[in-house]
Amino acid sequence: MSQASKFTAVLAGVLLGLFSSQFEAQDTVSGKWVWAGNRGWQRITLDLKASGNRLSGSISLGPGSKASNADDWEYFFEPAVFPITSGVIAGNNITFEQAASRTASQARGIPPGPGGREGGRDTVKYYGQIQGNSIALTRDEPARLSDPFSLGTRRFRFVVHRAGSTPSPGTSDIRIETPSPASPLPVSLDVEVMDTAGAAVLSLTKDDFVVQEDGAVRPIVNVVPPNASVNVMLMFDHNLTWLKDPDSLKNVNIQGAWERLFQSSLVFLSRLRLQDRFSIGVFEDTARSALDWRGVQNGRVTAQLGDVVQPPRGQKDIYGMIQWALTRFAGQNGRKSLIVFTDGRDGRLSPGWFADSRQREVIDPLFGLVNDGEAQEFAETLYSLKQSGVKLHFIVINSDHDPEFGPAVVPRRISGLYPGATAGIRDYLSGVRSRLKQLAEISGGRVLYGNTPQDASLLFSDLHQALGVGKIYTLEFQSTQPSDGAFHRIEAGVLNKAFRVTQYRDGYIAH
Amino acid sequence: MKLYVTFLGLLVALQEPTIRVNVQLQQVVTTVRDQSGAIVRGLQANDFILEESGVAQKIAHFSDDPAEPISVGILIDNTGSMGTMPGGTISGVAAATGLARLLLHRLKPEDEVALMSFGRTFRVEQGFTRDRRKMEEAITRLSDEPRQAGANILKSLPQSLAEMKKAGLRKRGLIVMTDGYFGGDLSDVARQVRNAEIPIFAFAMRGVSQGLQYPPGQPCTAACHAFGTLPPVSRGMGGMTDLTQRFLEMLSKETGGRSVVFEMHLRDTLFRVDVALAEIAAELRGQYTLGYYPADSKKSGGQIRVRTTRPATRVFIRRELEASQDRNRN
Repeated sequence: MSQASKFTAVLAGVLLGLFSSQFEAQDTVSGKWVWAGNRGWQRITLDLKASGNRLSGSISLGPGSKASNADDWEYFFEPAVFPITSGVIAGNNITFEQAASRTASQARGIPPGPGGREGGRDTVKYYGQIQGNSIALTRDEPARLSDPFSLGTRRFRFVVHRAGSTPSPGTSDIRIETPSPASPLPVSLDVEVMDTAGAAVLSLTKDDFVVQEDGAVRPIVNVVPPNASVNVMLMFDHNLTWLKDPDSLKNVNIQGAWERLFQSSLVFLSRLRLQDRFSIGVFEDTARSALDWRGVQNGRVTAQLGDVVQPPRGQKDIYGMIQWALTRFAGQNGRKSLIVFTDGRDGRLSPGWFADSRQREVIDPLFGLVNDGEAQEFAETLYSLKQSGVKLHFIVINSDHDPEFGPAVVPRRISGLYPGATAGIRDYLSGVRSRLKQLAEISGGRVLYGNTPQDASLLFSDLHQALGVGKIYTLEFQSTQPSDGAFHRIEAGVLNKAFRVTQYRDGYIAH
Repeated sequence: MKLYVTFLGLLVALQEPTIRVNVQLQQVVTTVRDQSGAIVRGLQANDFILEESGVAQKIAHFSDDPAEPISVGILIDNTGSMGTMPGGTISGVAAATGLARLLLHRLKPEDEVALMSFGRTFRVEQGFTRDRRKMEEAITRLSDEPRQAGANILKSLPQSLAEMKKAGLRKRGLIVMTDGYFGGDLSDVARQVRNAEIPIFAFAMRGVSQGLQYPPGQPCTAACHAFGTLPPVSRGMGGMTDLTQRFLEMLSKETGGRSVVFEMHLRDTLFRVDVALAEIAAELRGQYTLGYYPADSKKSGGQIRVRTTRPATRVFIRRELEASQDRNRN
C-alpha cells in the first residue's frame, strides 16, 4: 500500500469513527422521553431530534389527551408545548433551553403589579446526562431580581425515560440541607425559676445553673437575666388575605379581623415594660418598616388598615423578610423577638405556571419535587437565624386553606380536577408547616396556630408568656453535638434544690 | 321496444285512479319533569293530553325510544373572561373544551354534534356532523383562538338556536358553556328562547368564589383583594355583571333544560360533571315524540298544549314543523 493509500485509509478510519460516534449520539438521543410523577400534573415529554452535535425538538409540559381511551380528567388538560432551542450534545451530556416560556398571566395580558412586571422567566435551562434508556435532567430557572413574581432560583432534578420504558416515580420528599456553621453556635434555653412559695426568683447568675444535653453537662456561656430589656418586632403579612374567612364568599370580614388583631396587638404591647422596645413591619415580596423602634411609653400606637393592607405585588418572601428583620435588630440590646403574622406560604414553595404560544396554561409539572434552589435559601435563612440570637415566633391563622397559587392577582388552585391533588396539597401544606417549625425551633421560638382571627388574642397571651417578659432566664450553652438533624434532650437545674425550674422546651433539633 | 314502452304506459293509465290526500302528521317532542325538576320516564301515549287550539287531538304516533339518536349543539363562550378563572384550576375555556371532549366521548356514534362559539362574533365552528375527527379539530381550533370581547351570550343564543334548526334528528338540545359574565336584558332573550322550543342545558364555569371574580384587565385594588369585592364598574366594562344565577334560572324555566354550576376547584367537580353529562344525555334521549293528525286541518298550526294525566308534572314541548309526510290512501 502506498503512502497516499495509507493516509486515505487512516483518514477514512478517523472520519468513520467521528461519524459513527455522531450517529451513535443521534441514535441515543433522538426520540421521545417521558417523565411521569405520581400526581396528575406531573408529566413531561421530550421529543428530541439530534443532528450532529445539535439538539432540537420540543418539550411538552403537563398532562392531557385526546385519545378516546383517556381518563375523564385528561380531557380537561392539554400540555403546553415549547420548542427546544440552543440544544447541544457533547458526549453523553446534553443542554437545551425551553423557548418562549411565559407565565399564564403574561399570556393573558394581565397588567403588571406596581412592583414590576409580572411573571416572566427569561430562560428555563435543562442540563442532562444520558444513561442508557434514561436521561438525568436538571432544570434551572434563575431568579430575576427585578421581578417580584420570580422569587428565588428554581432548580429541580428528575429523570426522563425513553418512551415505552418504565417511567420514574415522582417524589414529594422535602429534604433540607442546612450548611454547618463555621463554629458551633450556642444553644439557648428559656427557664423560669420559682421558690417554694411559688414566687419568681429573679436574681440568679450563671453559676447558679446547671445544663445537661443528652445527659452530659455543658458549659453555660451566657445567662440573660429576667430584667433584661425585650425588643419585639411585630411583622404583618401585608395583604391580609390570610385573614379571610374561607366560608365567606364575600370575605367582607377582613376589616373586622384586622381590627380585632390590632387590638390584641395593642394589649400585648401594653404589657411590655419601660425598658422594652418594639417596632412594626409589613412584608410580602419586600419588607418595610411601618413603625420604627420605640418604647411603650412613647405615645399612643396607631396603625390604620391602610398602613398594612396593600394590593398583592409579588410572591411572599418569608425568607427575605426574616433576613431583613434580622438586620433591624442590629444594635438592639437584650432579648430579641420577631413575631410574624402570616399563613407561612413562602412563594418559593408555590408552583410556577407556564403558557405556550397557543395559550395553553399549565402548572409546573415539577411542582412537588424538591426545589434545590429553595432548599438552599431556606438553609441560609436557618443559618442566619441561628447566628442572630433573635427568637422567631409565628402566629399562623388559616394555614389549612386550600392554597391558591400563581401570580397573586390571578390566584389558582390545583384542587378539583387533578388526580392526586388532595395528597399534593397535603404535601405542600406539610412542607410549609415543616419550614415554619424549623425556623422557629432553631431560634428557640414557637409556632402558634389559630383557626380564626379571634384566636389571635389567645395566641398573644401564650406568646406573652413565651417572651418571658420580667421572669425568664435565657441560658446559652455550648453544644458539642454535630448538625445531625437529630433531637437532643436538654435538662436545666439550679444548685438550690429548694427552687423549682420550668423549662420552655425539652430539647432541640441540631440543624 | 317502443311498442313495449307504449303498452306499459297504457297499462298504467288504465289502472284505478289514485286519490292523493295530503294530511300532515304533526309531531311534538316533549320533555316531562316532575316537581323536583327530575325527568319523568315511562309514560305511555294515553298518559298525554294534547290539544291544538283548545281542541283535543288523538295521539296517532308515540315514541319514547331511548336508543333514538340525538342532535347536540354546543355553544362555548370564548370571550375574554373565559381566558382566566380566578381561583380555578384551569381557565374557563379549558374547562369548556374539556367538557365538550368528555361529552363527545359519552355520545353514541350515531348522535350528531355541532360546535358554536361567540367571542368577537357568533361563529359556527363546526356544523352538525357525526364525524368526531372534525369535531376534535374544531375544538382544538377554538381553544387556540385568542379570547375576544364583542358578542355576548344574549345576542348569540338566538343565533345558536337558529343553527339548531339545522339539526337532522328529532331529539335535540343545546349545551351552553359560559362563565355568566355579561350585560343586557334577560327578558328579551327569554322570549326568543321560549319560542325556539329547544331544551337548553347550561354549564356555568366558576372560580373559587364570586367575591374574587373580576374581569381580566381590570386592576384589582387593595380593597378588591383584602375584602374580596369587585372593583368599581368602569365604562370600559360595558356594565358587565354576574348574571349567572338569573341566566341559569331563566334557561331552566323557559326551555325545560337544566343548569350546572361547574366550580372547578372542588374535589367532586369531575364526579358532578360526569353525572350532569350523563343526565343531559339521558334527558335528551328521554324525550317523548307525540304525533297527531289535526282533527280540524283548517285550524292546524294553532296553539298546542300538552299535559299529562300524572299530577304535578311540567311538560316542555317543541313542534317538529318539518316532520310532515304524505299519506297515500287508495
